[in-house]
Amino acid sequence: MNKLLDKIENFDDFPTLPTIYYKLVDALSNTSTTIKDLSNLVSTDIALSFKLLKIVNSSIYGLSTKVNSIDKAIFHLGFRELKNIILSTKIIEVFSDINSNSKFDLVEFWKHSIAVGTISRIIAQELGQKNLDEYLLSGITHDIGKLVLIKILGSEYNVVFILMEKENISLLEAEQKILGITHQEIGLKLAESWNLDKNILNVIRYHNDGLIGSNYDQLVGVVHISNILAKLLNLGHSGCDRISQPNQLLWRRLDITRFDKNIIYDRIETDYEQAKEILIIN
Amino acid sequence: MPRKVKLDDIEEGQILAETLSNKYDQVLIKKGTSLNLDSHIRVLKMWGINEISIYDDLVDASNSSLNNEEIANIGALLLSELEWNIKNENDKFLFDIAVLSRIGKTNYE
Repeated sequence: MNKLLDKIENFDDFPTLPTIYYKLVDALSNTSTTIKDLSNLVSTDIALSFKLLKIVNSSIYGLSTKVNSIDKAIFHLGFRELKNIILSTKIIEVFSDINSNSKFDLVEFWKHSIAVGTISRIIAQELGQKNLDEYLLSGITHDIGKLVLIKILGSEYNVVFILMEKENISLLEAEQKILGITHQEIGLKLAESWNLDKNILNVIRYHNDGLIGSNYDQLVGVVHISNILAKLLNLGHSGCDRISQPNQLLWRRLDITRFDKNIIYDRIETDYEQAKEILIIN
Repeated sequence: MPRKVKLDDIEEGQILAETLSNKYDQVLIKKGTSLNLDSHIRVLKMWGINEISIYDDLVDASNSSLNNEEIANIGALLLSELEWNIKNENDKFLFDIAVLSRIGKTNYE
């Protein structure tokens, strides 16, 4: 097993985000940047431009008029949300070289993550949140540590799943036992190397707990329950069959019982289908 | 309306319109289950079932509404798959949405 540890410790080839993302971050931090500047930048990436328009025109946004230019799309999204949406699409592309194997299917993994993102976004909207695409992004990034581990170890990562089933322990316990590091921890390293926002780092680190230590954080809490709901609904597959119980302490701060089940369920079905179509690379 | 399909023609997400049993009368898959291409078809093949009755989609199934007993069965089945108990209304909210997805039935009463 030390061989696996060595591989992880010596790994220095973390994937990088495409330069267009960093150009965008620079542009956004400059107060004199205009929508036109951003739209020129986004337009240099044709695939990204198409995805952006598809997302803004999907049921996820539910706009009443059709948006047919990047300028208008950015206007509707706002600068901060533009960054979140572009990150969501680019992170999925960055890992497209990972090979699926008998225990892990990359497309199913992304379906699960996109489901967590769409469900989080829907719940956040019901809760009256404004930064909805941060919720989508959070769902998409919550488990990226698993992809890092699979990138490093390939199908050798499967020993974790095997131990988990054999000893009936959680994925985190199995990773700790065999690898000495969890997907939460290595995902955090990657996200730090990408300079992602603190909020996203918290999601990656704490989504399984649902709380940050004993503190409530709405983003972490919502992703925690959306992760469980995505598993209950069988949307995609995270690589781990087990469905854990929601953190009961979380319910003291987060109450979803006043929402309409039928409406939430219908929205999940529609938005998930569309998000999956747009974001997954075939 | 439910219709008969051959095993090879089943599509992911179609809803089973009949409860399927093996030759020993043990229930294999309950009516109202949203079909999964891997696990369910494996079971059907194992018991030599070649043709089943399905609803095409959720709308189709909800129009031919399931009765309360069937809904209760689906709930009980889902509960038995969980390793935890429903402790409050919020837990139950998540659980109920999962039941909705399995019976493919939505109503706006």
